[in-house]
Amino acid sequence: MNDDFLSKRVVADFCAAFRKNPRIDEFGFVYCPEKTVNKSPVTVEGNKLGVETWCLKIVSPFIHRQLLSQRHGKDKSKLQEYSKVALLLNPECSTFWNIRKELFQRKYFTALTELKFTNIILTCHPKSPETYVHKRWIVRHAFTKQAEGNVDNRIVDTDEQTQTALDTEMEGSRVAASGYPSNYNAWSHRIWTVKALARCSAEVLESELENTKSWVRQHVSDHSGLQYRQFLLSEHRQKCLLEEHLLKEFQFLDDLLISYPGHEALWNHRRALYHLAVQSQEGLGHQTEELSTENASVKSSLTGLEDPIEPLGAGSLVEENKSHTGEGEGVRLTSINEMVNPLLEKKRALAILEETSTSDSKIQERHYKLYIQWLDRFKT
Amino acid sequence: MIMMCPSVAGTPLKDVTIKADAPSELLLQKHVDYIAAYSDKVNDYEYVMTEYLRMSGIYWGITALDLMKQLPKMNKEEVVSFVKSCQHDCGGIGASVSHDPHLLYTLSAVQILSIFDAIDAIDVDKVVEFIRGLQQEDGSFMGDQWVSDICGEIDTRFSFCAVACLALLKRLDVINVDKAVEYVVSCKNFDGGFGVRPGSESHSGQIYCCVGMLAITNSLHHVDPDLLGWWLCERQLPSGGLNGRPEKLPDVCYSWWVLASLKVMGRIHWIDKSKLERFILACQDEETGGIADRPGDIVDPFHTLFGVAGLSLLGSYKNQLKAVNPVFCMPEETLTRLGVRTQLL
Repeated sequence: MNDDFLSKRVVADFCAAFRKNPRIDEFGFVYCPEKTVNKSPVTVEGNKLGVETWCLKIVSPFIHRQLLSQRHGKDKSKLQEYSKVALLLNPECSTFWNIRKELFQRKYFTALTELKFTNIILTCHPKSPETYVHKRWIVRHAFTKQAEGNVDNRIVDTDEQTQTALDTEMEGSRVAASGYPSNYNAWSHRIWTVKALARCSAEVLESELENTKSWVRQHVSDHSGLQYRQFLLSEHRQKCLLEEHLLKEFQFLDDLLISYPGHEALWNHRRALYHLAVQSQEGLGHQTEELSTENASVKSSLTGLEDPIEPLGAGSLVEENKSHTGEGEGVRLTSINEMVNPLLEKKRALAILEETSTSDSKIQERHYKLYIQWLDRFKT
Repeated sequence: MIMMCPSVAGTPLKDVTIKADAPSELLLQKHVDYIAAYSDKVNDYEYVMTEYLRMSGIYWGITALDLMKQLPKMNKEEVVSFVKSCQHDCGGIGASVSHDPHLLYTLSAVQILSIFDAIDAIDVDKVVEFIRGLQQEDGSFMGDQWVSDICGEIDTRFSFCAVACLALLKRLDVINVDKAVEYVVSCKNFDGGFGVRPGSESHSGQIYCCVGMLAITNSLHHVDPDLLGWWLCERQLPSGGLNGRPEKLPDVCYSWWVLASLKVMGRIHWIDKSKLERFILACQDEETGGIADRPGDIVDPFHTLFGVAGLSLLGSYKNQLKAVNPVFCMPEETLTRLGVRTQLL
């Protein structure tokens, strides 16, 4: 079969698959280095769309050339079909996404349809930066019509379509987060969505804290998931509500630290919670970092004269004189005032270490020591 | 080779193991040959599929060759002509012919032409105008723009691209530098690091961009070098390699972004240099030449550049490698020739 003929056939097969199966929600490559039977490389099973890899070396370059050469031609339907296939195969080409922007402006598809299409791409390419970029463009264009970072939020539509868009984006980023560990792009997109589509409403912050709790428990190495919870907490406007959540989060984290010893992501999460607690108590609330003053720069140049322990990384254990009292009772956080007491916090961290099973205590100890050093150096 | 390295009682520490027979010397000539031959693969499937980033790919190749003192292996006229053909009417430059303009590729183009001392091949005023038009009221930068009243994508990488590009062109005056700095500072997190947008997770790549941006604009006093330096040197793993965030595997490209950030902040000695050097050397491929993200993986020009640049920054192989600038990831001598200086702590 002639290469061009094959490529056109494959595009047609993709389009037919979408037409016959409008509920397709997943795409993937089917590893098949050589054609073995005389049938289409495009396959559908249930709601799962696949393409056999043997045809990619022929089909991808063909579609690529077609799209770029015919972009300004009259056959927009062809561009619609080709761009869809091209992006399933290679979602990083921003020019292809721009072709779809042009088609969107000509109303070849709706915003919601396009958001769902991007979710299908993410099932195969969960990190794809350009896919998230396109999502945000569609949302800005169709739902928010506001400049990025615009602090005085204009009224966002509260109708059903916006809610559907929000649900679609949450679902897409959730699936993508599970599809790749510590998926920075999925989680930062989730943060963006909460800001842009939900305006960080108290309701959404609450539900997201609830929704992500069990996910985080199942992915304790996932620093991005944990940071998302830090973001949710930091967006709370009411001090009492924030402190209530911080208390719960500390208790949640205590359990995780004991159940899953030696996880840097969890110990880093503790640093963040401690910082949030201190900030809340100092009444700083939700403010951006103030621009540094001259005094701050003088301070940092002085402390820079003392290098930290040598070197932190490379698996070397931190050596220091243990300053704990050895009381070691399970000192769990029970009140908000205890949160920001550095001595009590150190006792709590030690209690976690001492509750860790003996077989895991060495790796837990390393993280415990780093945490204490970090507190001493930067938080007291 | 990715392995889970069990510590006591099987708690997994995410790292790689360097095999005893991994490369331990710089295979410079092999890398030169690898880069020089890369563009011969013009019909190779991978080459077509990466066309969307070609301008950056050329910058990676050219910079790697120049750092290895082998720039003449590149056909200067051909490259300059290619760059010129990618500039659009709006002034912005695309990744390749027929690809749309974007700030990322505009920077790569200006870097390439700076190294070749051929910046006049493009319309510099239009490039400056393109970049100026991407700055927002809050100081942030879009990467491109498709509809005039809808904001484009905002990313702290673009803040870096904008000021780096304008600094190379000596036109920083056209943007609101104070506002640009203010926006980057708003992306600073409690751990001293920076994310893609305000409130986003600290990430070594974004940190490199933000620290670099602040260095170019003489605004490093906004960085807490001890706090951030601490976070950055925690990126070093037992194998000696550096990762980008907690509990991620080491990757040679992070060895550049983390290392360069530490260099700018005057804390490069907080990293175990010999272990990092050993890691980078182990990522070389003895058969094909080139450097991969981690030992045993497939090589590519991106990781080849950052591996070579990382070695240069460490001060390794001084007689074979040119000094590299930690902010621009270009040979220092290019920046000296251009008269471009940045702050260093």
